[in-house]
Amino acid sequence: MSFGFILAGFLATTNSGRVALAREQSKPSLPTIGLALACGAVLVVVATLFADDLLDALSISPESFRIAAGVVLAVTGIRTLVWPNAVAGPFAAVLVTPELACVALSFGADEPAGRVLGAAALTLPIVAIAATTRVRVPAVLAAQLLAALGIVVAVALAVSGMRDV
Amino acid sequence: MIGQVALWGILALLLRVVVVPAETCPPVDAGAVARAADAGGDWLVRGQRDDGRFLYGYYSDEDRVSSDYNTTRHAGVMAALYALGRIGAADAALGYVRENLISQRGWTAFAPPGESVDVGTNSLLVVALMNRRKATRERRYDRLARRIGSFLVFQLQADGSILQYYQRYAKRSLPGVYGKFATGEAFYAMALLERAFPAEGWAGPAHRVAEYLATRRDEVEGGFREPDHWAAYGLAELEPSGLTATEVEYARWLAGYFGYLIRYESQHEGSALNRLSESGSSLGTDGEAAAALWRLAGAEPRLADLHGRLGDRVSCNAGVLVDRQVSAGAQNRLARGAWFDDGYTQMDDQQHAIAALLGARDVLR
Repeated sequence: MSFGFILAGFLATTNSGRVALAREQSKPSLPTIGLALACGAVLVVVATLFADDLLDALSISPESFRIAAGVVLAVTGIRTLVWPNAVAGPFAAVLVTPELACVALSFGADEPAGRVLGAAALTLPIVAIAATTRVRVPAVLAAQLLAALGIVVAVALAVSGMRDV
Repeated sequence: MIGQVALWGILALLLRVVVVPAETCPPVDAGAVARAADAGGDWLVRGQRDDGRFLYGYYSDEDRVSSDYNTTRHAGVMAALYALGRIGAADAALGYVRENLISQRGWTAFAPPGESVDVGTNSLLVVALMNRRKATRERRYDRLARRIGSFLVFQLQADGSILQYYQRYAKRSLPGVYGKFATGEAFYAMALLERAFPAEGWAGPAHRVAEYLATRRDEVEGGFREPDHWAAYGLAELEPSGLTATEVEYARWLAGYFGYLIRYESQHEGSALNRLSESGSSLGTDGEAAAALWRLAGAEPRLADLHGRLGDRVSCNAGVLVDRQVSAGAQNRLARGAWFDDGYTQMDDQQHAIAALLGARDVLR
Protein backbone atom coordinates (compact mmCIF):
# COMPACT_ATOMS: atom_id res chain seq x y z
CA MET A 1 0.00 0.00 0.00
CA SER A 2 1.62 3.26 -1.08
CA PHE A 3 1.86 6.35 1.12
CA GLY A 4 -0.08 8.25 -1.55
CA PHE A 5 -2.95 5.74 -1.34
CA ILE A 6 -3.14 6.08 2.45
CA LEU A 7 -3.10 9.87 2.10
CA ALA A 8 -5.90 9.67 -0.49
CA GLY A 9 -7.90 7.51 1.93
CA PHE A 10 -7.60 10.07 4.70
CA LEU A 11 -8.23 13.04 2.39
CA ALA A 12 -11.42 11.40 1.19
CA THR A 13 -12.72 10.34 4.59
CA THR A 14 -11.92 13.55 6.47
CA ASN A 15 -13.68 15.26 3.53
CA SER A 16 -12.78 18.94 3.97
CA GLY A 17 -15.64 19.95 1.69
CA ARG A 18 -18.16 18.41 4.07
CA VAL A 19 -16.37 20.04 7.02
CA ALA A 20 -16.75 23.42 5.26
CA LEU A 21 -20.45 22.71 4.73
CA ALA A 22 -20.87 21.94 8.42
CA ARG A 23 -19.02 25.16 9.33
CA GLU A 24 -21.30 27.22 7.05
CA GLN A 25 -24.33 25.61 8.66
CA SER A 26 -23.43 25.72 12.35
CA LYS A 27 -20.89 28.60 12.53
CA PRO A 28 -18.84 26.95 15.29
CA SER A 29 -16.66 28.82 17.77
CA LEU A 30 -12.88 28.37 17.73
CA PRO A 31 -12.90 26.07 20.79
CA THR A 32 -15.55 23.89 19.10
CA ILE A 33 -13.40 23.68 15.97
CA GLY A 34 -10.45 22.69 18.15
CA LEU A 35 -12.57 20.05 19.84
CA ALA A 36 -13.70 18.67 16.44
CA LEU A 37 -10.11 18.36 15.25
CA ALA A 38 -9.10 16.73 18.53
CA CYS A 39 -11.99 14.22 18.29
CA GLY A 40 -10.96 13.32 14.72
CA ALA A 41 -7.32 12.97 15.74
CA VAL A 42 -8.16 10.77 18.73
CA LEU A 43 -10.37 8.56 16.54
CA VAL A 44 -7.57 8.08 13.99
CA VAL A 45 -4.84 7.51 16.59
CA VAL A 46 -6.87 5.01 18.62
CA ALA A 47 -8.12 3.14 15.54
CA THR A 48 -4.62 2.98 14.06
CA LEU A 49 -2.84 1.89 17.22
CA PHE A 50 -5.45 -0.66 18.31
CA ALA A 51 -6.41 -1.97 14.86
CA ASP A 52 -4.67 -5.33 15.31
CA ASP A 53 -6.19 -5.89 18.75
CA LEU A 54 -9.68 -4.95 17.62
CA LEU A 55 -9.59 -7.10 14.49
CA ASP A 56 -8.15 -10.01 16.49
CA ALA A 57 -10.97 -9.65 19.00
CA LEU A 58 -13.50 -9.69 16.17
CA SER A 59 -11.69 -12.60 14.41
CA ILE A 60 -11.35 -10.66 11.19
CA SER A 61 -8.18 -10.73 9.10
CA PRO A 62 -6.86 -7.35 7.85
CA GLU A 63 -7.48 -8.55 4.28
CA SER A 64 -11.18 -9.22 4.96
CA PHE A 65 -11.55 -5.95 6.83
CA ARG A 66 -10.34 -4.11 3.73
CA ILE A 67 -13.49 -5.35 2.00
CA ALA A 68 -15.65 -4.09 4.86
CA ALA A 69 -13.88 -0.72 4.86
CA GLY A 70 -14.40 -0.53 1.10
CA VAL A 71 -18.14 -1.14 1.52
CA VAL A 72 -18.45 1.56 4.17
CA LEU A 73 -16.45 4.06 2.11
CA ALA A 74 -18.47 3.32 -0.99
CA VAL A 75 -21.83 3.71 0.79
CA THR A 76 -20.88 6.96 2.55
CA GLY A 77 -19.14 8.25 -0.59
CA ILE A 78 -22.24 7.70 -2.72
CA ARG A 79 -24.37 9.32 -0.04
CA THR A 80 -22.19 12.46 -0.04
CA LEU A 81 -21.99 12.49 -3.82
CA VAL A 82 -25.79 12.43 -4.13
CA TRP A 83 -26.67 14.49 -1.04
CA PRO A 84 -23.69 16.74 -0.33
CA ASN A 85 -24.98 17.95 3.04
CA ALA A 86 -23.27 18.39 6.37
CA VAL A 87 -23.84 15.35 8.58
CA ALA A 88 -26.48 15.92 11.26
CA GLY A 89 -25.12 16.39 14.77
CA PRO A 90 -22.84 18.75 16.65
CA PHE A 91 -19.90 20.27 14.80
CA ALA A 92 -17.50 18.76 17.35
CA ALA A 93 -18.36 15.32 15.95
CA VAL A 94 -17.95 16.29 12.29
CA LEU A 95 -14.92 14.02 11.88
CA VAL A 96 -16.23 11.15 13.96
CA THR A 97 -17.53 9.15 11.03
CA PRO A 98 -17.71 5.43 10.21
CA GLU A 99 -15.66 5.90 7.07
CA LEU A 100 -12.76 7.63 8.88
CA ALA A 101 -12.81 4.96 11.61
CA CYS A 102 -12.83 2.18 9.02
CA VAL A 103 -9.92 3.48 6.92
CA ALA A 104 -7.85 4.17 10.05
CA LEU A 105 -8.53 0.62 11.25
CA SER A 106 -7.79 -0.90 7.86
CA PHE A 107 -4.60 1.09 7.27
CA GLY A 108 -3.54 0.55 10.88
CA ALA A 109 -3.89 -3.22 10.51
CA ASP A 110 -1.95 -3.32 7.25
CA GLU A 111 0.77 -0.70 7.64
CA PRO A 112 3.20 0.57 10.30
CA ALA A 113 1.45 3.03 12.65
CA GLY A 114 3.99 5.82 12.00
CA ARG A 115 3.32 5.74 8.27
CA VAL A 116 -0.46 5.79 8.74
CA LEU A 117 -0.42 8.56 11.33
CA GLY A 118 2.02 10.53 9.16
CA ALA A 119 -0.43 10.43 6.25
CA ALA A 120 -3.34 11.32 8.52
CA ALA A 121 -1.40 14.26 9.98
CA LEU A 122 -0.96 15.75 6.50
CA THR A 123 -4.74 16.09 6.16
CA LEU A 124 -5.08 17.97 9.47
CA PRO A 125 -4.06 21.42 8.13
CA ILE A 126 -6.47 21.06 5.20
CA VAL A 127 -9.34 20.16 7.51
CA ALA A 128 -8.35 23.00 9.87
CA ILE A 129 -8.44 25.50 7.00
CA ALA A 130 -11.83 24.20 5.85
CA ALA A 131 -13.15 24.54 9.40
CA THR A 132 -11.87 28.07 10.02
CA THR A 133 -11.62 29.96 6.72
CA ARG A 134 -13.88 32.92 6.16
CA VAL A 135 -13.25 32.86 2.40
CA ARG A 136 -16.19 31.49 0.42
CA VAL A 137 -15.19 28.08 -0.90
CA PRO A 138 -17.10 25.78 -3.31
CA ALA A 139 -17.84 23.45 -0.40
CA VAL A 140 -20.46 21.35 -2.18
CA LEU A 141 -18.19 20.68 -5.15
CA ALA A 142 -15.26 19.92 -2.86
CA ALA A 143 -17.40 17.52 -0.79
CA GLN A 144 -18.52 15.71 -3.95
CA LEU A 145 -15.01 15.50 -5.42
CA LEU A 146 -13.63 14.07 -2.19
CA ALA A 147 -16.57 11.66 -2.00
CA ALA A 148 -15.71 10.50 -5.52
CA LEU A 149 -12.12 10.02 -4.39
CA GLY A 150 -13.54 8.00 -1.49
CA ILE A 151 -15.37 5.73 -3.92
CA VAL A 152 -12.16 5.12 -5.87
CA VAL A 153 -10.33 4.28 -2.64
CA ALA A 154 -13.26 2.04 -1.64
CA VAL A 155 -13.05 0.02 -4.84
CA ALA A 156 -9.28 -0.31 -4.54
CA LEU A 157 -9.57 -1.45 -0.92
CA ALA A 158 -12.27 -4.01 -1.64
CA VAL A 159 -10.47 -5.40 -4.70
CA SER A 160 -7.23 -5.62 -2.75
CA GLY A 161 -9.07 -7.39 0.08
CA MET A 162 -10.42 -9.95 -2.35
CA ARG A 163 -7.17 -10.46 -4.25
CA ASP A 164 -4.89 -10.74 -1.26
CA VAL A 165 -4.09 -13.95 0.60
CA MET B 1 -27.92 12.63 16.77
CA ILE B 2 -29.54 9.54 18.35
CA GLY B 3 -30.85 8.56 14.92
CA GLN B 4 -27.35 8.92 13.53
CA VAL B 5 -25.89 6.65 16.22
CA ALA B 6 -28.67 4.10 15.66
CA LEU B 7 -27.88 4.16 11.93
CA TRP B 8 -24.22 3.50 12.75
CA GLY B 9 -25.25 0.59 14.91
CA ILE B 10 -27.45 -0.99 12.25
CA LEU B 11 -24.74 -0.49 9.60
CA ALA B 12 -22.14 -2.09 11.85
CA LEU B 13 -24.43 -5.06 12.54
CA LEU B 14 -25.19 -5.56 8.85
CA LEU B 15 -21.52 -5.33 8.03
CA ARG B 16 -20.71 -7.93 10.66
CA VAL B 17 -23.34 -10.40 9.49
CA VAL B 18 -23.05 -9.94 5.74
CA VAL B 19 -19.55 -8.70 4.90
CA VAL B 20 -17.20 -9.61 7.74
CA PRO B 21 -18.49 -12.44 9.92
CA ALA B 22 -15.85 -13.82 12.28
CA GLU B 23 -13.29 -16.04 10.58
CA THR B 24 -13.61 -19.28 12.51
CA CYS B 25 -10.62 -21.57 12.29
CA PRO B 26 -11.09 -24.61 14.54
CA PRO B 27 -7.80 -25.41 16.31
CA VAL B 28 -5.95 -28.32 14.76
CA ASP B 29 -2.53 -29.98 15.00
CA ALA B 30 -0.47 -32.29 12.81
CA GLY B 31 -1.73 -35.38 14.64
CA ALA B 32 -5.41 -34.53 14.14
CA VAL B 33 -4.76 -33.78 10.49
CA ALA B 34 -2.98 -37.12 9.96
CA ARG B 35 -5.83 -39.00 11.66
CA ALA B 36 -8.43 -37.22 9.53
CA ALA B 37 -6.52 -38.02 6.33
CA ASP B 38 -6.27 -41.67 7.39
CA ALA B 39 -9.99 -41.85 8.11
CA GLY B 40 -10.70 -40.39 4.67
CA GLY B 41 -8.39 -43.02 3.16
CA ASP B 42 -10.26 -45.73 5.09
CA TRP B 43 -13.53 -44.62 3.45
CA LEU B 44 -11.98 -45.04 0.00
CA VAL B 45 -10.43 -48.42 0.80
CA ARG B 46 -13.65 -49.76 2.38
CA GLY B 47 -15.49 -48.92 -0.84
CA GLN B 48 -12.97 -50.50 -3.20
CA ARG B 49 -14.31 -53.28 -5.43
CA ASP B 50 -12.55 -56.44 -6.60
CA ASP B 51 -11.69 -54.85 -9.97
CA GLY B 52 -9.79 -52.02 -8.25
CA ARG B 53 -12.46 -49.34 -8.76
CA PHE B 54 -13.97 -47.43 -5.85
CA LEU B 55 -17.40 -46.65 -4.47
CA TYR B 56 -18.32 -43.53 -6.44
CA GLY B 57 -20.84 -41.79 -4.20
CA TYR B 58 -23.19 -42.23 -1.27
CA TYR B 59 -26.46 -40.50 -0.25
CA SER B 60 -26.60 -40.72 3.52
CA ASP B 61 -30.22 -39.57 3.87
CA GLU B 62 -31.46 -42.34 1.58
CA ASP B 63 -28.71 -44.81 2.48
CA ARG B 64 -28.15 -45.29 -1.25
CA VAL B 65 -24.94 -45.63 -3.25
CA SER B 66 -24.33 -44.05 -6.64
CA SER B 67 -23.62 -46.33 -9.58
CA ASP B 68 -21.79 -43.62 -11.57
CA TYR B 69 -18.10 -43.80 -12.31
CA ASN B 70 -15.46 -41.43 -13.60
CA THR B 71 -11.96 -42.32 -14.73
CA THR B 72 -10.46 -38.93 -13.89
CA ARG B 73 -11.63 -39.35 -10.32
CA HIS B 74 -10.30 -42.90 -10.32
CA ALA B 75 -6.83 -41.60 -11.19
CA GLY B 76 -7.16 -38.70 -8.72
CA VAL B 77 -8.08 -41.04 -5.88
CA MET B 78 -5.13 -43.26 -6.78
CA ALA B 79 -2.83 -40.24 -6.52
CA ALA B 80 -4.24 -39.35 -3.08
CA LEU B 81 -3.90 -42.94 -1.82
CA TYR B 82 -0.27 -43.19 -2.96
CA ALA B 83 0.45 -39.86 -1.25
CA LEU B 84 -1.22 -41.22 1.90
CA GLY B 85 0.92 -44.36 1.78
CA ARG B 86 -1.97 -46.75 1.03
CA ILE B 87 0.11 -48.53 -1.58
CA GLY B 88 -1.89 -51.80 -1.65
CA ALA B 89 -5.24 -50.17 -2.40
CA ALA B 90 -3.69 -47.76 -4.89
CA ASP B 91 -1.88 -50.63 -6.64
CA ALA B 92 -5.19 -52.50 -6.92
CA ALA B 93 -6.64 -49.38 -8.58
CA LEU B 94 -3.58 -49.30 -10.85
CA GLY B 95 -4.44 -52.87 -11.85
CA TYR B 96 -7.72 -51.58 -13.33
CA VAL B 97 -5.76 -48.91 -15.18
CA ARG B 98 -3.25 -51.39 -16.58
CA GLU B 99 -6.06 -53.50 -18.00
CA ASN B 100 -7.35 -50.48 -19.91
CA LEU B 101 -4.27 -49.01 -21.51
CA ILE B 102 -4.05 -48.21 -25.18
CA SER B 103 -0.84 -47.52 -27.07
CA GLN B 104 -0.25 -45.55 -30.23
CA ARG B 105 3.04 -44.72 -31.87
CA GLY B 106 5.15 -43.15 -29.12
CA TRP B 107 2.60 -42.91 -26.38
CA THR B 108 0.38 -44.89 -24.03
CA ALA B 109 -2.79 -43.79 -22.27
CA PHE B 110 -5.53 -45.07 -19.99
CA ALA B 111 -9.01 -45.23 -21.50
CA PRO B 112 -11.61 -47.90 -20.72
CA PRO B 113 -13.46 -49.32 -23.76
CA GLY B 114 -15.96 -46.91 -25.27
CA GLU B 115 -14.32 -43.81 -23.82
CA SER B 116 -12.20 -41.22 -25.57
CA VAL B 117 -8.72 -40.72 -24.19
CA ASP B 118 -8.97 -37.89 -21.66
CA VAL B 119 -6.00 -35.63 -20.91
CA GLY B 120 -7.26 -34.94 -17.36
CA THR B 121 -7.49 -38.62 -16.49
CA ASN B 122 -4.06 -39.38 -17.87
CA SER B 123 -2.47 -36.36 -16.23
CA LEU B 124 -3.70 -37.51 -12.83
CA LEU B 125 -2.44 -40.99 -13.67
CA VAL B 126 1.04 -39.51 -14.11
CA VAL B 127 0.58 -37.72 -10.76
CA ALA B 128 -0.38 -41.04 -9.17
CA LEU B 129 2.64 -42.82 -10.66
CA MET B 130 4.95 -40.05 -9.49
CA ASN B 131 3.42 -40.22 -5.99
CA ARG B 132 3.95 -43.98 -6.08
CA ARG B 133 7.58 -43.48 -7.13
CA LYS B 134 8.11 -41.12 -4.19
CA ALA B 135 6.33 -43.34 -1.66
CA THR B 136 7.93 -46.66 -2.67
CA ARG B 137 11.22 -45.50 -4.23
CA GLU B 138 10.48 -48.05 -6.97
CA ARG B 139 11.13 -47.21 -10.62
CA ARG B 140 9.06 -49.95 -12.23
CA TYR B 141 6.42 -47.59 -13.68
CA ASP B 142 8.81 -44.88 -14.92
CA ARG B 143 8.46 -46.04 -18.52
CA LEU B 144 4.66 -45.98 -18.30
CA ALA B 145 4.75 -42.48 -16.76
CA ARG B 146 6.99 -41.23 -19.58
CA ARG B 147 4.76 -42.75 -22.26
CA ILE B 148 1.64 -41.18 -20.74
CA GLY B 149 3.58 -37.91 -20.53
CA SER B 150 4.25 -38.28 -24.26
CA PHE B 151 0.47 -38.48 -24.82
CA LEU B 152 0.04 -35.19 -22.94
CA VAL B 153 2.71 -33.55 -25.08
CA PHE B 154 1.01 -35.02 -28.18
CA GLN B 155 -2.17 -33.14 -27.23
CA LEU B 156 -0.26 -29.89 -26.58
CA GLN B 157 -0.84 -27.12 -29.14
CA ALA B 158 1.65 -24.50 -30.29
CA ASP B 159 -0.02 -21.79 -28.18
CA GLY B 160 0.25 -23.86 -24.98
CA SER B 161 -3.38 -25.00 -24.95
CA ILE B 162 -4.11 -28.70 -24.61
CA LEU B 163 -6.90 -30.51 -26.40
CA GLN B 164 -8.82 -32.55 -23.86
CA TYR B 165 -9.70 -35.62 -25.92
CA TYR B 166 -8.10 -38.03 -28.32
CA GLN B 167 -10.68 -40.07 -30.21
CA ARG B 168 -9.43 -43.63 -30.05
CA TYR B 169 -11.50 -44.96 -32.96
CA ALA B 170 -11.09 -41.96 -35.28
CA LYS B 171 -7.43 -41.88 -34.22
CA ARG B 172 -7.22 -38.11 -33.95
CA SER B 173 -7.36 -35.38 -31.33
CA LEU B 174 -10.76 -33.72 -30.99
CA PRO B 175 -10.23 -30.11 -32.07
CA GLY B 176 -11.52 -27.09 -30.13
CA VAL B 177 -12.44 -28.91 -26.92
CA TYR B 178 -10.58 -28.01 -23.74
CA GLY B 179 -11.11 -29.29 -20.22
CA LYS B 180 -11.94 -26.99 -17.35
CA PHE B 181 -9.25 -28.62 -15.22
CA ALA B 182 -7.45 -30.87 -17.73
CA THR B 183 -4.95 -28.22 -18.83
CA GLY B 184 -3.88 -27.48 -15.25
CA GLU B 185 -3.70 -31.20 -14.54
CA ALA B 186 -1.47 -31.73 -17.58
CA PHE B 187 0.74 -28.85 -16.48
CA TYR B 188 1.13 -30.45 -13.04
CA ALA B 189 1.94 -33.83 -14.61
CA MET B 190 4.57 -32.28 -16.88
CA ALA B 191 6.12 -30.40 -13.95
CA LEU B 192 6.33 -33.67 -11.98
CA LEU B 193 7.96 -35.41 -14.94
CA GLU B 194 10.49 -32.58 -15.19
CA ARG B 195 11.22 -32.95 -11.47
CA ALA B 196 11.68 -36.73 -11.75
CA PHE B 197 13.53 -36.77 -15.08
CA PRO B 198 15.21 -33.38 -15.31
CA ALA B 199 17.33 -34.00 -18.39
CA GLU B 200 14.51 -35.23 -20.64
CA GLY B 201 12.99 -31.98 -21.86
CA TRP B 202 9.72 -31.87 -19.92
CA ALA B 203 10.36 -28.30 -18.73
CA GLY B 204 9.74 -26.76 -22.16
CA PRO B 205 6.18 -28.06 -22.57
CA ALA B 206 5.46 -27.36 -18.88
CA HIS B 207 6.49 -23.71 -19.17
CA ARG B 208 4.53 -23.36 -22.40
CA VAL B 209 1.36 -24.58 -20.67
CA ALA B 210 2.02 -22.38 -17.63
CA GLU B 211 2.37 -19.31 -19.83
CA TYR B 212 -0.89 -20.23 -21.55
CA LEU B 213 -2.73 -20.73 -18.25
CA ALA B 214 -1.46 -17.42 -16.95
CA THR B 215 -2.08 -15.28 -20.00
CA ARG B 216 -4.26 -16.79 -22.72
CA ARG B 217 -6.63 -19.41 -21.37
CA ASP B 218 -9.59 -17.09 -20.69
CA GLU B 219 -9.35 -15.66 -24.19
CA VAL B 220 -9.12 -19.05 -25.92
CA GLU B 221 -11.48 -21.12 -23.77
CA GLY B 222 -13.84 -18.46 -22.40
CA GLY B 223 -14.59 -18.17 -18.73
CA PHE B 224 -12.98 -15.74 -16.35
CA ARG B 225 -9.87 -16.59 -14.40
CA GLU B 226 -10.62 -20.22 -13.68
CA PRO B 227 -9.52 -21.15 -10.17
CA ASP B 228 -6.93 -23.81 -10.83
CA HIS B 229 -5.40 -25.60 -7.90
CA TRP B 230 -3.65 -27.98 -10.29
CA ALA B 231 -1.74 -25.03 -11.67
CA ALA B 232 -0.70 -24.17 -8.10
CA TYR B 233 0.70 -27.69 -7.70
CA GLY B 234 2.45 -27.40 -11.05
CA LEU B 235 4.11 -24.09 -10.21
CA ALA B 236 5.36 -25.49 -6.90
CA GLU B 237 6.87 -28.50 -8.68
CA LEU B 238 8.38 -26.43 -11.47
CA GLU B 239 10.10 -23.98 -9.12
CA PRO B 240 13.49 -25.75 -9.05
CA SER B 241 13.79 -25.32 -12.82
CA GLY B 242 13.18 -21.58 -12.42
CA LEU B 243 9.90 -19.71 -12.81
CA THR B 244 9.39 -16.84 -15.23
CA ALA B 245 8.11 -13.45 -14.03
CA THR B 246 4.71 -14.29 -15.56
CA GLU B 247 4.55 -17.57 -13.65
CA VAL B 248 5.46 -15.86 -10.38
CA GLU B 249 2.75 -13.26 -10.96
CA TYR B 250 0.27 -16.04 -11.74
CA ALA B 251 1.26 -17.82 -8.51
CA ARG B 252 0.66 -14.59 -6.60
CA TRP B 253 -2.76 -14.24 -8.22
CA LEU B 254 -3.64 -17.85 -7.36
CA ALA B 255 -2.49 -17.31 -3.76
CA GLY B 256 -4.82 -14.33 -3.47
CA TYR B 257 -7.69 -16.22 -5.05
CA PHE B 258 -7.46 -19.30 -2.86
CA GLY B 259 -6.55 -17.26 0.23
CA TYR B 260 -9.75 -15.29 -0.22
CA LEU B 261 -11.82 -18.46 -0.68
CA ILE B 262 -10.44 -19.96 2.54
CA ARG B 263 -11.16 -16.73 4.43
CA TYR B 264 -14.67 -16.68 3.01
CA GLU B 265 -15.30 -20.31 3.97
CA SER B 266 -13.97 -19.72 7.48
CA GLN B 267 -16.43 -16.82 7.83
CA HIS B 268 -19.26 -19.29 7.35
CA GLU B 269 -17.88 -22.09 9.50
CA GLY B 270 -20.21 -23.09 12.31
CA SER B 271 -22.37 -20.00 11.86
CA ALA B 272 -26.10 -20.29 12.41
CA LEU B 273 -26.84 -17.08 10.52
CA ASN B 274 -24.94 -17.58 7.29
CA ARG B 275 -23.80 -21.17 7.14
CA LEU B 276 -22.27 -22.13 3.83
CA SER B 277 -22.59 -25.60 2.40
CA GLU B 278 -19.27 -26.69 0.87
CA SER B 279 -18.25 -30.13 -0.35
CA GLY B 280 -15.07 -31.88 0.77
CA SER B 281 -13.91 -31.50 -2.80
CA SER B 282 -14.40 -27.75 -2.79
CA LEU B 283 -12.81 -27.20 0.62
CA GLY B 284 -10.05 -29.65 -0.25
CA THR B 285 -9.02 -28.03 -3.54
CA ASP B 286 -8.71 -24.67 -1.79
CA GLY B 287 -6.49 -26.23 0.85
CA GLU B 288 -4.44 -28.12 -1.74
CA ALA B 289 -3.75 -24.94 -3.68
CA ALA B 290 -2.86 -22.94 -0.59
CA ALA B 291 -0.50 -25.68 0.65
CA ALA B 292 1.22 -25.98 -2.74
CA LEU B 293 1.64 -22.21 -2.92
CA TRP B 294 2.91 -22.19 0.68
CA ARG B 295 5.64 -24.63 -0.38
CA LEU B 296 6.38 -22.48 -3.42
CA ALA B 297 6.50 -19.26 -1.35
CA GLY B 298 8.97 -20.96 0.99
CA ALA B 299 11.34 -21.64 -1.89
CA GLU B 300 10.79 -18.71 -4.25
CA PRO B 301 12.15 -15.39 -2.88
CA ARG B 302 9.81 -13.35 -5.09
CA LEU B 303 6.84 -14.85 -3.20
CA ALA B 304 8.41 -14.98 0.27
CA ASP B 305 6.08 -12.26 1.60
CA LEU B 306 3.11 -14.65 1.16
CA HIS B 307 4.59 -17.58 3.07
CA GLY B 308 3.32 -16.76 6.57
CA ARG B 309 -0.19 -15.81 5.53
CA LEU B 310 -0.51 -18.86 3.28
CA GLY B 311 0.52 -21.00 6.25
CA ASP B 312 -2.28 -19.39 8.29
CA ARG B 313 -4.82 -20.09 5.57
CA VAL B 314 -3.70 -23.71 5.17
CA SER B 315 -4.02 -24.30 8.92
CA CYS B 316 -7.44 -22.69 8.95
CA ASN B 317 -8.65 -24.80 6.03
CA ALA B 318 -7.35 -27.95 7.74
CA GLY B 319 -9.22 -27.04 10.93
CA VAL B 320 -12.44 -26.61 8.95
CA LEU B 321 -11.90 -29.91 7.12
CA VAL B 322 -11.28 -31.85 10.34
CA ASP B 323 -14.32 -30.20 11.88
CA ARG B 324 -16.59 -31.09 8.95
CA GLN B 325 -15.53 -34.73 8.64
CA VAL B 326 -17.90 -37.46 9.79
CA SER B 327 -16.37 -38.95 12.93
CA ALA B 328 -14.17 -42.01 12.45
CA GLY B 329 -16.27 -43.63 15.15
CA ALA B 330 -19.61 -43.17 13.36
CA GLN B 331 -21.80 -46.27 13.05
CA ASN B 332 -22.48 -45.96 9.33
CA ARG B 333 -19.47 -47.39 7.50
CA LEU B 334 -20.36 -45.53 4.30
CA ALA B 335 -20.39 -42.22 6.15
CA ARG B 336 -17.52 -42.73 8.58
CA GLY B 337 -14.49 -40.56 7.72
CA ALA B 338 -16.20 -38.87 4.75
CA TRP B 339 -17.05 -35.27 3.91
CA PHE B 340 -20.69 -34.67 3.02
CA ASP B 341 -22.43 -31.80 1.32
CA ASP B 342 -26.20 -31.76 1.52
CA GLY B 343 -26.29 -35.45 2.46
CA TYR B 344 -24.04 -36.64 -0.37
CA THR B 345 -20.39 -37.58 -0.66
CA GLN B 346 -18.39 -38.91 -3.57
CA MET B 347 -14.90 -40.25 -4.05
CA ASP B 348 -13.29 -36.95 -5.01
CA ASP B 349 -14.57 -35.33 -1.81
CA GLN B 350 -12.26 -37.69 0.04
CA GLN B 351 -9.50 -37.37 -2.60
CA HIS B 352 -9.20 -33.59 -2.34
CA ALA B 353 -9.75 -33.43 1.41
CA ILE B 354 -6.99 -36.02 1.98
CA ALA B 355 -4.60 -34.16 -0.32
CA ALA B 356 -5.32 -30.86 1.46
CA LEU B 357 -4.76 -32.46 4.87
CA LEU B 358 -1.47 -33.98 3.72
CA GLY B 359 -0.40 -30.52 2.54
CA ALA B 360 -1.46 -29.02 5.87
CA ARG B 361 0.50 -31.65 7.80
CA ASP B 362 3.72 -30.13 6.44
CA VAL B 363 2.62 -26.65 7.49
CA LEU B 364 1.63 -27.73 11.00
CA ARG B 365 4.76 -29.79 11.71
